Amino acid sequence: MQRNSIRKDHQLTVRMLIIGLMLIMAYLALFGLLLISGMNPIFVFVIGIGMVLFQYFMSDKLVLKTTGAKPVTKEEQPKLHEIIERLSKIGGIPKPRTIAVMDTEAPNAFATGRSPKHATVAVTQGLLNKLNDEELEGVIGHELAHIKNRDMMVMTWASLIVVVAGFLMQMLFWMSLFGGFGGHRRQGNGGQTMAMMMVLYIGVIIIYFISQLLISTLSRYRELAADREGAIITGSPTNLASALKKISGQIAQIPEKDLRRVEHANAFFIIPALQGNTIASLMSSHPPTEMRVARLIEMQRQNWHLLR
Amino acid sequence: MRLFRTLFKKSNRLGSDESDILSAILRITNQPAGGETDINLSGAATLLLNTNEHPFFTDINSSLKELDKELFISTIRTPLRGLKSDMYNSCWIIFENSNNQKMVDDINSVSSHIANLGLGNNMTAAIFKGTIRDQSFYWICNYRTSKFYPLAPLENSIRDNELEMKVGSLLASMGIPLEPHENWYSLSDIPI
Repeated sequence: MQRNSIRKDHQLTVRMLIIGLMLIMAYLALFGLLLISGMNPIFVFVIGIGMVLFQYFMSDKLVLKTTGAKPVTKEEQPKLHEIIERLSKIGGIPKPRTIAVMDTEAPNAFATGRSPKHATVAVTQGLLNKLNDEELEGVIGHELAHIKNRDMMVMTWASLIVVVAGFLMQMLFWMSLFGGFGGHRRQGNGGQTMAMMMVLYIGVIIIYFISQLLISTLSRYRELAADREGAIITGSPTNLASALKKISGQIAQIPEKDLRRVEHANAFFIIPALQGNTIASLMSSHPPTEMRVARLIEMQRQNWHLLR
Repeated sequence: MRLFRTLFKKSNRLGSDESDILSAILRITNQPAGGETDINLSGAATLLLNTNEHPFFTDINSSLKELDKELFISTIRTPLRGLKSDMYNSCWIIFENSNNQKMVDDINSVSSHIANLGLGNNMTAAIFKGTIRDQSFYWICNYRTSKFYPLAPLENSIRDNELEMKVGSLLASMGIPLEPHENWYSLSDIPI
């Protein structure tokens, strides 16, 4: 078995499990905090789940609308359809329902949809223009791997806690502005309720940031897993590696900020290391490209006898 | 000695090396038309200043008139114009001249004069309007780094990154000192 199949990345699986456990702990902490402070956790979570369900079922339509991606037929984009159809078959998932193209020059792609049966894959015109067929296969393989791994579902449900904590944070903030904490205050007990609410507020903020951190970490792990799964589907890790290099080496680096703004922020020109610093990389949803490329090349090296 | 030079350069940024930098533009644009590169200037440029409180900027137009007289730079061209605008408190001094050489000379003499007023640090960039084949773009010379980069704004603060990449690699291949991509900052409301 070991010999003719590509080994699972156990380290990555273990890491995802650890993050998952930490997320569960964050959920429990939030639940406990709500109980202690006398709020009904069920009520709060029902609202949160409602918000997430909305996102869950509407996501594909919403995303198409906000990105301006236009569904394309087989006649309009025969090559794109052919690649997606072939790779879906290899990956053992149904061909995504909607295949769309965004009319932007910046090379990019995404997959969405709550299940493989309701999936959408979209690429930008820039991606089609810049990449050759192999590289395009690499990117599509990665997106199909997201669908296969049900990342949309995993990430939506994982981020429930951020939705709930964020909602609570806002609610507590407005409550503190209007009529003070606690609503109808029990007599003689006002100070205590106030202190309780303060504890709740601070606790919720801490949980919010920690879970945000956990979720972006989880997202980066899912990206690495999709890189790997995608490379198994296409049979060539270097396809994606080369596409990633091509995409990120160029456009992604050009900043949108105004020269004058940076100039006022001073120091920048002397120490040009403001980007790629640790805070940003902790919060970012994708691992750095160099890391992804290095892992793909390593995968190719280890499994050269199994890959084409 | 080196320390001295660094300090000196900091207080009075526009040394002779910067004027050489701007001339790099001429080296490229003076090539025969229709050549392989076909990059050209379209007769307009602007010097971008940030206006800290200094008498020079309170009445920019009369200051420029003075400057004009004082420098009495070339004859066949419109007088220097300046305009102040926007949230960044920027001030643009506008140069128009169909003779590229003269325009670059003008910018250099105005720049060094402004530097002599002790305003070297207030100069942000020199911006030239240019074309490559039929498409127009801006060449930005960042005065802080003395390097160039292309800027091709489309509407709604969107940029034609692809054209910029193309021009950038062309400039680099011709030996123009080029900013690395991560410093290709945008500039809005360029008045030329």
